[in-house]
This record gives sequence, structure tokens and C-alpha cells, in this order.
Amino acid sequence: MLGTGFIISNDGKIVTTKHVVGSDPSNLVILAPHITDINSYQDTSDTRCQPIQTNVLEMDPIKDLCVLKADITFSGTLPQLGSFDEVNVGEKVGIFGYPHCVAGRRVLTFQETEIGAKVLLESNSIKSKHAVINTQARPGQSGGIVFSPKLGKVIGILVGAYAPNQGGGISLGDINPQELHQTTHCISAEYIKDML
Amino acid sequence: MEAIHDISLEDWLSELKVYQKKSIEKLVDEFGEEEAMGKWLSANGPKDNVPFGGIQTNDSKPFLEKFKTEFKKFICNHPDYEGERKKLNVESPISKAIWISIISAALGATLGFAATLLAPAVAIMLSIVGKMGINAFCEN
Repeated sequence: MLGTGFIISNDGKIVTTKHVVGSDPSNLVILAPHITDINSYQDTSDTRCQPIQTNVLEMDPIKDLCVLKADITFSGTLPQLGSFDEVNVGEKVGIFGYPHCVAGRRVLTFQETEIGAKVLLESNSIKSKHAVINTQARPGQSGGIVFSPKLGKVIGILVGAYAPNQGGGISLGDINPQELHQTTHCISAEYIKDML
Repeated sequence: MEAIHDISLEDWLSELKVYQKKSIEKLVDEFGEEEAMGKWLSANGPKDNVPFGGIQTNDSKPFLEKFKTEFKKFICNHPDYEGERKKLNVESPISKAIWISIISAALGATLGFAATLLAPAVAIMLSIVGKMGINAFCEN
């Protein structure tokens, strides 16, 4: 398992990050959710999977976003897309994702935190709107939703955490100490609209 | 292949999705066509950010050069792309979007790269070929 994603259309479009998918779309599948109720006990010994063939529809390497198309139809309520423009620093947000899924743990997890800062992050001289959320995230949560309970909208997508000067640092049991802080980066969900 | 003469870069880029067009235009303005292609193809989100998912790769091979090599093979009648070129020939007239789509898909399959990621670079290369002329491009 590589990361988290969320469905955005009835015909099976799914949003995640580019780095979750990688550049090579061959043999890509998503795993259908293994629970129907967030309040149920998630059996961590249950390794059954329902893989669904998936294609890459759109990919933005500058903003690190990706839209997939899975061979499914969805009849539930779809999330509305918003923007960090619509919330203030200090406002509560919720995040859903699969922390540690890259290590094989499949537990859909909710965290609540607040917007710590709004920032512009640069990729090849192009700046994009991001937010720092004040919680520690872990590998597997990239692509997870950041939503505003006040607006009832997805306002961001988790993309990682601040870590300058990557490469050549110390790693302890596959854990990079540089990642262990609460400066988690999320990109504004508004950019998804241009990709649909 | 004559159909790509006298088409401006702006017209090629107008066939892209809005998110592609906005970014690639900024990159071309700041770095020029060649460097813009390289930066687009090698970009991986914001700097000073550690990603929380996917598989981290350390592929240091110059992807842009591989891309340009395959593009040239397509345009210059290399037998590797004979089947894909036939797909172009059944279209009449061949729209700019079809050019970008068929070449991106063909090169993506060879390079193991998502076609949608290649599309902006393909659009730039088609503009370059149009300016140079196919014969000059293929002799170069």
C-alpha cells in the first residue's frame, strides 16, 4: 500500500498525490475500503483485499497531485471541494487517512487539528497555496483529505511534512527523525478543480 | 506530418488541460522551452517537503534525454512507432489534441511514464519540430 486517496465523482475519479502513484501507471490498482462504518473495530489481522484496476487520468508534478480513474461507480454523497482561502488560521480541520499503510497497516484513522499557518510552497519557482496543520502525520497519509467541519468541504490534501536538506541524514529503523514534528503540509484543494 | 508546420507554441499549449497550461507557460517564460520540459518532467511537488507515501526512487538517469530520443524516433519514421503513426494517419484532419494524445500515449508506453505527464513536453517538442521543419529536425 502506497498512500491514501478519496473519491470525487460518481464515475470513479479518485484524488491522491503524484508521489503516492509514481510516474509509471502500469499495473496500478486501488484497494476498496474494508469497512463501512468508521466506528467499527478495524481488524488489523484481516489482510483480505479487493483490488480495483485503475488508470492515471491527470497528474500535476508541480503541485504533486493526481487524479485516478477506477473501474467503479459510486452512488454515495461526494465531497465538495473548497480552498484554504475559505478558512482562517486557528480553525479546526479533520483529516482522514491511512497512517503506516506503507508498512502494511490498514487502519482508516481520523485526526482533528487546526490550521497552523497558510504558506506558499515553491516547486521549480512556481508557488502554490498550502497550509501547515498542527499534527504529526506518518507515511501512508499522503493523499488524505483535510476537511472543514464548518464548511462541510474538503479544503486540502495532505502531501507530507517539512524536511529541509533531505538525503544523507540519519535514519533510525526506517524512521527519519526530521519527519517527527507537527509541521504537516497540505495543498489547497482548489487545484483539483482544474484537473477534473 | 506537414500538418504541424506554422503552429505556434501558444496554440499547442492551448490544447492542454488548464493546470498543465498554467504551469508549463510559467516554466517556459522563466526558463525557456528546453529547460521547462526538464523541470516539468522531473518535478515532484514542493521543495523541503518529505512525502508520506509512495515508493521513493533514486533514478538519476537523464529522463529528458530518453524522452527526446523516443520523440525523435516517433517523428522521424523509426519502425518502433510504425503502428502508432498509422493511428495518426487514419485521422483527417489531424487535430493538435490528437497529435499530443497519440504521441504521449506511444512514448508513455515505451518509457513507463504516464501519458498525461508527457503531454506538455510533447506539445513543446511539436512546436519545435514545426519551427525547424521535420527534415531539419530529423537530420539534426
